[in-house]
Amino acid sequence: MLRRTTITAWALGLSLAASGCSDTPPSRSQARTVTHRDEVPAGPRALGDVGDLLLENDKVRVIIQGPGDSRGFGVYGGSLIDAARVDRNQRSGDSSGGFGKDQFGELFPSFFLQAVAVDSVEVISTGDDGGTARVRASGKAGDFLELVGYLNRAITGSNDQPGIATSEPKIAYATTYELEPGANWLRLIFRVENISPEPLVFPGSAASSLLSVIGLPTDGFTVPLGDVALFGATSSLFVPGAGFDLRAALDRSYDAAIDWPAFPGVVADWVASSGDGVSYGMMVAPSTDNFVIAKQATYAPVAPFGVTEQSMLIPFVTGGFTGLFHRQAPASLPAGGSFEVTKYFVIGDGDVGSVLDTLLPLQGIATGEVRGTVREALTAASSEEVKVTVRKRAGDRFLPYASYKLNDGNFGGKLPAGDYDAIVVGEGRPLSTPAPFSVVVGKPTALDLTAPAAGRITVRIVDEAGQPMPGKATAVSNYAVEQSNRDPRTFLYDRAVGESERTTDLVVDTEDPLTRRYIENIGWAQDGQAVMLVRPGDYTVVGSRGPEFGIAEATVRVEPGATASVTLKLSRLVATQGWIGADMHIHSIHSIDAAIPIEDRVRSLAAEGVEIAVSTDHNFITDLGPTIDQLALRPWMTSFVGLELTSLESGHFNGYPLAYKTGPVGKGAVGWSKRTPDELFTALRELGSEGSGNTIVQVNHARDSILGYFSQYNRNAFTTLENRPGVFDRFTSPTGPAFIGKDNKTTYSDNFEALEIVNGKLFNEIHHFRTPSQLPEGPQPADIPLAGTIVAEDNDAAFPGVVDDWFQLLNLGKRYIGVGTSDTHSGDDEAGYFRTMIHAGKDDPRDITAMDFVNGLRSRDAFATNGPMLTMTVNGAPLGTTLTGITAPVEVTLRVAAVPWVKVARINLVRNGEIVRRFEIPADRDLAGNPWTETFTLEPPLAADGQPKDSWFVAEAIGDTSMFPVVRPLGIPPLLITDAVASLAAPLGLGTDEYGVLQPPLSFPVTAYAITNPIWVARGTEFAPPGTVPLARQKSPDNDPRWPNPPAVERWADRWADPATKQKNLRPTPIVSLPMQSLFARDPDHPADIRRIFAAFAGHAGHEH
Amino acid sequence: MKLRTFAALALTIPLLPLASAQAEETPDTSAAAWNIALHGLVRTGFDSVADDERYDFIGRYDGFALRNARLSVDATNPAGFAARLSIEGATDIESGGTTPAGTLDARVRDGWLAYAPTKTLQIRAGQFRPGFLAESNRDPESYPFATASLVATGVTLGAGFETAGLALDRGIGAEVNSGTGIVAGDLTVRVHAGAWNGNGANQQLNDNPSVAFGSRIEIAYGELVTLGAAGFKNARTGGELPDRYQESDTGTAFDLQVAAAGFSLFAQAAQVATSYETVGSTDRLQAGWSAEAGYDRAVGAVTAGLGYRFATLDPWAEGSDARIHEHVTEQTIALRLGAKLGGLPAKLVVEHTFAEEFETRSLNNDRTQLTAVVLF
Repeated sequence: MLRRTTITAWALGLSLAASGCSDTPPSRSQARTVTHRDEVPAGPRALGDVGDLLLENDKVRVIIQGPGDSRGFGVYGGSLIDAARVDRNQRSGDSSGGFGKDQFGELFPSFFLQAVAVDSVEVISTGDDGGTARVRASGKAGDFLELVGYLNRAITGSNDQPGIATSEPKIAYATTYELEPGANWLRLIFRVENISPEPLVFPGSAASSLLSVIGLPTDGFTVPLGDVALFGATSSLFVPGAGFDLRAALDRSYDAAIDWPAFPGVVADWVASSGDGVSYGMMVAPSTDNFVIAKQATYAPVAPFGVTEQSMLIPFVTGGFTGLFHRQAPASLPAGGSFEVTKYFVIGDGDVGSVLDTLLPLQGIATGEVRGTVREALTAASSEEVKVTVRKRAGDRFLPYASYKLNDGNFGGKLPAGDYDAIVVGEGRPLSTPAPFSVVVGKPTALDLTAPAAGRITVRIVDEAGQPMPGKATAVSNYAVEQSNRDPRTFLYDRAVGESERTTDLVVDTEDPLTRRYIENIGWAQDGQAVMLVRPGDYTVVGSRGPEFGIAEATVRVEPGATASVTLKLSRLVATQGWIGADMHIHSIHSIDAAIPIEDRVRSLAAEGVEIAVSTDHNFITDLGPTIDQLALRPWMTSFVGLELTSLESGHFNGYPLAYKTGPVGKGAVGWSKRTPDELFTALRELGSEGSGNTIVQVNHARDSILGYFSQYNRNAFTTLENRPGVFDRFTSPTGPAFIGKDNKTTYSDNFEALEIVNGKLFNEIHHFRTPSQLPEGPQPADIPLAGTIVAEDNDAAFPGVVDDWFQLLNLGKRYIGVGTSDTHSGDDEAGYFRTMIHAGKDDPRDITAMDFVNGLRSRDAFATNGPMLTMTVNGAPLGTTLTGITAPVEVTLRVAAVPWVKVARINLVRNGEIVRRFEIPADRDLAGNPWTETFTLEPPLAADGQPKDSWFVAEAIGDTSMFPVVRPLGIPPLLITDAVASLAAPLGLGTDEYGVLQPPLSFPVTAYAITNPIWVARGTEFAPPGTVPLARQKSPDNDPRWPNPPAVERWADRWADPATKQKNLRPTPIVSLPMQSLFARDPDHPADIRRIFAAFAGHAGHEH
Repeated sequence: MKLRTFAALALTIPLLPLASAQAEETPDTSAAAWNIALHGLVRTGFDSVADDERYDFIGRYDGFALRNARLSVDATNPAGFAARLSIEGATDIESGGTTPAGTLDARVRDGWLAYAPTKTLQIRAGQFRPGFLAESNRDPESYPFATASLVATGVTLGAGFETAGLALDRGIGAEVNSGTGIVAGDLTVRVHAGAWNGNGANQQLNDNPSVAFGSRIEIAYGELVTLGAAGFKNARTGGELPDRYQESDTGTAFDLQVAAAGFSLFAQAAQVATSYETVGSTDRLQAGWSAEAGYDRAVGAVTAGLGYRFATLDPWAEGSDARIHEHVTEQTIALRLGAKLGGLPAKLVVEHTFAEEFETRSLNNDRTQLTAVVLF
């Protein structure tokens, strides 16, 4: 064989004549318009499509969406919507999508809270010259949130008239995305240009006047710029100092004293994420105009690793949105002048460490390196299913600084010089003992770590015949009495280093170990087999399959590295012949705020006994059917396709059953921006698989502050009519075309069919909140209504509930189908609690067609429940019936059945919105073997003129006992920006939240509740709506449903590290009367009730929708 | 019967009278014994790809290669029945685009049954390669180069930016062909027309209810010149439920082969047009052509030869202006030696390929390859 070199030389000679020589150019970046679907990144968050712009090199691929409505969770195009590493193990994409694994949601810049309405996205430089590839997105001011639109325009001066969004623009925005050859990061340059003929000042003159009128000092107030980043639920956010528990860090920051004009929040020089196959990071270029460094006297004491010219402030994390403030605008900008903010977006390969390997050098930080191995404690084999969290010394503490995944047992990366320790974290494993080490610049540090062994429980779930069936296994244990009533985050788990939350029973701890229980893990058995990884210890394994089955328990001891096995037999205790349980509000990985894969989502539904599952991802259509088939779960459940059309401010609306379209990126989902409710409802109906006339449009969580349709359209809780708009509502309410029509009237529409009257664990939105019989410790308002009275203000409920809204709508003749759903986003908020039991006349889900489902709902022979099986008849007629020609007294029969772990305490019979009968259920009643039934006669109600009037009946069942562990309590209260605002107000002497503890609890054990659809009774041939209940009677304690009021469990007191702060917040101090001109006065005529704005927006920061 | 299937088979109907018009011999149906012939080949080699400084997946994974390890069983029956089972022990089961994550595995290549009522008519069914590219129809022992051309195989793993070629993979189907050919004087006409699942080799089921169909015709003047033309259409369904998407491929190919006095010339041109019904993307056109020239001469017991090949492949000849940079060209020069080793035909080919990509994707990836093949 000829030597290769000889051949090469010979061949080379020939080639010179053939092709000539060419220099080898460096690797390239490229920017171009996507022309085929196979060019875009793939992955659960991938939204790129033909027409978008692609930036790629040999390391990364990024999509910048073209102009138009955002396909993500934002409003406008021009955002970075996909980002993936180049997947070496995938050849190419195909029509269903490209290659790579995008886990990123969306990134867009903000000037204060103002976004950019991008109208142009173009390639500036293709990268063909071997240089940097560039894409630019440009536009004018846009409203990310319309309700702060006026405030934004006033503060930024972006438009000629702050009150008119379409007035002449004064500012032009542009973001240039740059990708260098060989880089795994992008440089983002955000440019703000004054395109007006006059200088601009920041804050704008209109804002200065506004703020001064309401008594807020403007000295020192600088307008922040930043970004809104939607990392997505599949990316675990990590912040140095806070680790993976940014939520708790924000809590602490809100409790710290932050003087105006600074904002509370977490300070860090970068943020990163950890995810499956890809991770992300963000940092900013150093600048003397850095927002944090300009206020370093304020922020330095609360920044665990200090402040620099690259620091960022994270003021909020809510519903998947992470706010980042990092720059302050100059005091003024001359006509034609501009300034730029440079940021960096890093794409790692799955862990925080890989992000730091790029980010630290970009920040110019000298580094050393740590390299290590992790071996199993018992076997010394290389570990795989664990990660390593590295903590850095900050004073006398060690705080999370990096996280690494393992590759064949190895981990490592770059770190700044300093002292650290390393902890091995893994599911089912105790934390390892922190291993200290130091890093020296330019030198490697080696670590050998040991992973404590996990324990394992395998569970076999069978039916009474011994046959395997779907079910849920829950591993329950209890903590030591010494830990009683302490914040479980301080001893039970450490989210900051990456452990999962363990939900506690949320009852007052005593010597009784049954009051100190927590859930270690759960497992779903699709075929009767479930496996759970648990920390070694003693457990009670609880098997369940929804509210028709009893539970079974077994105790096990799990040794390190060992597997304990149990078999649990579940018996169906409550007969539901003819009834089918449906959950019409379900999220999975295709929603930005959900991480649960489709397979696990389907398993969770089957495990909870849900028989009809309607997938409703945010602005994305998902079909669960093929997965049900693949998991062989058809005998147990069926599914229909749905969609949650998710606007930012108009509310959330479900439509089902819908058609599934393979071709479009969103599988047929439609846009929502600037569309009126009627347009949204029509758009949903047009997607129907059975025709628009057979598509159910459902309004979700209507009272959920900014996410609630009724709240956003200002519906009065007592009258259902629009609240009289205040003089200054234009400053604080959404006023865009989605809200105000051309006739200057509200665009609110009642053209929907179903109303979600109960949603998951939003117990605070079921009934209008009434003063409870006892209040927990804490600040109380001076004027407290009588116990059982609706807490109201200005003739509106202070904390409205949808069930009571529904009652008044029924009184006005609106026959919305009352449904209950889970709105489940994860494994922790259980599917099917709530669910809607539909009398379909069939028991096999395989026999249920789409029209059976639709007709079943429309018959209104249905009730919503999270446990009790509650039915009612009137004169023998079932739910949903309209009886006509009834002049005699009616015979009402109520029946409730429930499995033993679902405790029902009382039944209320509601007629025309008022409670006319109450029944107490004995605590020891076996509602499974001996359902409670009561039959009685009722005279017709009388109108004011003494004449009988038509009536409708609804029954509700209420329990007082926690359903733990089958249904987890709502443990960690949602993060409210009212907390931030309240802490902001304190230094100004404006007191705290005006209601104090007089408001619905936001963390509580989940108790039983069920409510039926109505039966209408008409004296004539048609039902005459009785009209709304007079205000006084609505408010009266006579109509108090006696909602559960469990003893307050003040577990979260430990979050106030400062004893003085803790004492202040726990002391029952009456609220001082707030001055009318305070920023925080609750007055509809007040020009800017900022707290109501932020509280409304972030009311469910910890509760995804 | 689907319309397309009917159309495919209908292509052969005009040929049947022609076939039957030949004064061919009728097969001997008296003997019932099967003749079993075992044969196969081993093609092994060595690859050396230049290391590109910028891309660590180019040139890093070269070395010895097992290109084919094939064992075939042919069974024939004087009654006109035939069968072939061919197992390839070196099938690439690639799972990587730029990493050596693939493995070799044993897979069925050909597996078909045939019936030839006459010498010029054969019906076969099973798994086989549909006639499209002439290059793909070559017997392994007659490969003039160490590897197939860019047009057929595209750019392979480790040699550059991996790109699919235009050759059709084997598929499960049925065809009608002209057997040994329809002879008319000095002309011989060979025709293949068939239908197959269209979703590749060794697939358990079809990807959709449709079948692909295609046809190839060759006209040869003695052994001097052969002119060929082929076409196919394949409606494919990809993805997994609920995201199943429809695409359609339409391929056409032409080729010319001239051989005389040791000289050989071969040229082929092919294109595949793809439409994207579900997604609605712009139609795509892949196009390529190659030309070979060679000279072989017997020198004693050895046959020595030289060959040159020019091949070019444009994966995006139409459909995306931004992807014109994926155009690749290769020039290959080869030295080949043939001989009998222990009575078995053997060949050794050494070649060097100069690969040229579009300017913005230019790589340092020229390669030298050696292949040794022994047939038994």
